[in-house]
Amino acid sequence: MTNPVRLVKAAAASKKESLESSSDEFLTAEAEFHEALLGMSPEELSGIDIDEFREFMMGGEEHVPTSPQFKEGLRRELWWMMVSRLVRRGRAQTPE
Amino acid sequence: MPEVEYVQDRFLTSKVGSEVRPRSDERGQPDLGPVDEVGTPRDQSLSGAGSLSDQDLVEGILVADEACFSALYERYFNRIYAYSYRRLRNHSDAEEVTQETFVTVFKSISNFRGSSSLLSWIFGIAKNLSNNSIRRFQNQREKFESVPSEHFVPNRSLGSCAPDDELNLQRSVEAIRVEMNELPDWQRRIFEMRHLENMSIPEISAETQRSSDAIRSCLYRTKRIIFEAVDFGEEVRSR
Repeated sequence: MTNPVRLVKAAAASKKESLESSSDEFLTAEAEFHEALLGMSPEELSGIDIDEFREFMMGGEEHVPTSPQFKEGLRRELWWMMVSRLVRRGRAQTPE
Repeated sequence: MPEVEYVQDRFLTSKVGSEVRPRSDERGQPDLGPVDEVGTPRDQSLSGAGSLSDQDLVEGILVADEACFSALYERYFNRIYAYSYRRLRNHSDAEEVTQETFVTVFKSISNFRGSSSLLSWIFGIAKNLSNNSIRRFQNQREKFESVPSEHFVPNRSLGSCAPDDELNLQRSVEAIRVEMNELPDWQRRIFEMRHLENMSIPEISAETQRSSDAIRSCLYRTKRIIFEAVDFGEEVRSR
């Protein structure tokens, strides 16, 4: 009986091979998508919606306009949050 | 000292245990290279962290390595944002989902054990939060559509409610007042400008010298605080 996970992996491997030599950004993202599929365990692969996952992966190359202020503001807030949590847990300390 | 410089000064030399960690990474990464005024490495490739595996990035983040943090953020920001935007078709909602996704990721990153890939883990979070946002929107629309039109006309003043209703209303108002008093002055002021003075977001942005996105984000957080306060009032009432 054909194993669907193995089929997906085989298709991903062959697709990745044909795409990875490309310098085109879109095709590079496509290769990354197939590489990500190859790196997944059978359990992960069977629990994921592959079309939606592909959409997610290709988003990195799509030019959806984002606000640079939002991106930088969020980065700062998250870094501050992360460091505060680590300091509280004693994983990082402020210098004397 | 500007906040970002302060953060960098404090934490780029953060200690792990009793050992002071130098800015250059212990795992042999090169120095971060030039950093712009907001603390982002100008060229991610210079940091060396951009080529690290997800697992290495997680380990770096857990010892407050900002280069690893930035690399993970850069690796996933566009994907999360574009994915959310395509599903929600609205920049404000996409920003909220992106923000919530990263907050969830960084809050629970210490629990990440690598049993699944970071990529599929983050994808799962973004997908769930986008679905929640779509569901919330649909629920609100259904509730709105199910309300008979005469209910949109204000026909009762506070004093004309039934005693129970009035008491409940007063408790909710009090819960909101308490939460509002605990907000920082600037956050409360932004909320008042928007909802009491009916100012537009660009007007508030000009008045406060903050970006429109910062205003939207602030309003979103304030609304959440208010909703939670009202929920708390409901809990008290149901006891």
